[in-house]
Amino acid sequence: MTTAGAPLGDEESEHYEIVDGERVRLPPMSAFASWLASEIAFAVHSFAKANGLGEATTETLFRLPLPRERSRRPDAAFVSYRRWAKGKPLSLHDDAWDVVPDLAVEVVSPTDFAEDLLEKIDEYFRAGVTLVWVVSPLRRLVYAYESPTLIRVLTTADELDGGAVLPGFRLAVAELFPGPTDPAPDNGAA
Amino acid sequence: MTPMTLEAPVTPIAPPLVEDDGRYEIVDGKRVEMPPMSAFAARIAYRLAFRITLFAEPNDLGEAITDTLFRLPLERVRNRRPDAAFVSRRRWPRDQPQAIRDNAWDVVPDLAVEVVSPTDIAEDLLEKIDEYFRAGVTLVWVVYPRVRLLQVYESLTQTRGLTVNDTLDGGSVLPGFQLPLAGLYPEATDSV
Repeated sequence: MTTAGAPLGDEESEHYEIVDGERVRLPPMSAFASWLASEIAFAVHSFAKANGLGEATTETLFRLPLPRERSRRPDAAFVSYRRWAKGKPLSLHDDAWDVVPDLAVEVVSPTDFAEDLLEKIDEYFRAGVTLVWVVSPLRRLVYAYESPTLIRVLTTADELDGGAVLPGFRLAVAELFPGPTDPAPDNGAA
Repeated sequence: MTPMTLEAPVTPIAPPLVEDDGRYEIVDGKRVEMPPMSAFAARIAYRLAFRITLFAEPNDLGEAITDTLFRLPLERVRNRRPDAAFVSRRRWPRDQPQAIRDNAWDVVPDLAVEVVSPTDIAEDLLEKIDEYFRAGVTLVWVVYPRVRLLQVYESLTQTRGLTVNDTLDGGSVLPGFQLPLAGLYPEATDSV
């Protein structure tokens, strides 16, 4: 891919994505959503480094090789060494990482539109992402997409597993939703 | 909350129909205005309801309907307005009388269909799906027109997606119903 992204200057500090060549601002993320994304990235990163599989990251813009230019910023992502060799240098100035992650994680924020989210999932797979985890903090669910049509829904009684992307990786969903949070609107004080 | 028995008296919660004809739902006893539905989404909802009617009518299996408010028997008052729905004769017999002025249908549909519009919030949609199942809906279809994907939910945690190359089936609600999805979506000027 040769499309040069915008350089990372002072004015670029807020979160955005590139959709059809145009810069689109992302809605602000809740502190809880940020915490969740780092928690998942940390667990994946620790496992992947220990097993020599690759590296996780949060809030990183990825340039996706799609018919129209799309750069997406998953809340967390994992890139295997197979896709980006260990130690391969990254430009200090490029705003986006020129690789398709193996795993993309989206933590749903209260203002995310349903259709935008599904469009993003669809794009990830068309670009070559293998696994997408969508986390719903309000419902305390994780949707593990192996394709836009193959979906496993995990509750706090289940474990996330890394599938073909991170063989052997397991993370209890309950660990992602510790303690009391805002009650889900209809399960709470009735 | 009114139990789901067929004999239960109809309790009007919101003002009767003559006073309001806007699109709204009742959430925790409060009227919540719904975002306007696009013509594109309305056509999809109608096409689904029409195909279900074609299938259900000859055997008198039940009725398909679009954009109708249903009173859901949940802990707090929820009236939801699926974009399309199917109510079997088992849940609402053909001769069951209905109040002419009641704003909501006092039955839990077997099938609820949501056609996602560009302004629908993801967590709100999940909440609605969760509610449908807790109220006793058996099957939920969620249509994403822009991506041309249809998600079939058999419960909040049992779901799969169908593309335009797949055929939608009626599951246990409409056994034998088959709809190739290639014909579901009208041509769009601005789809992805």
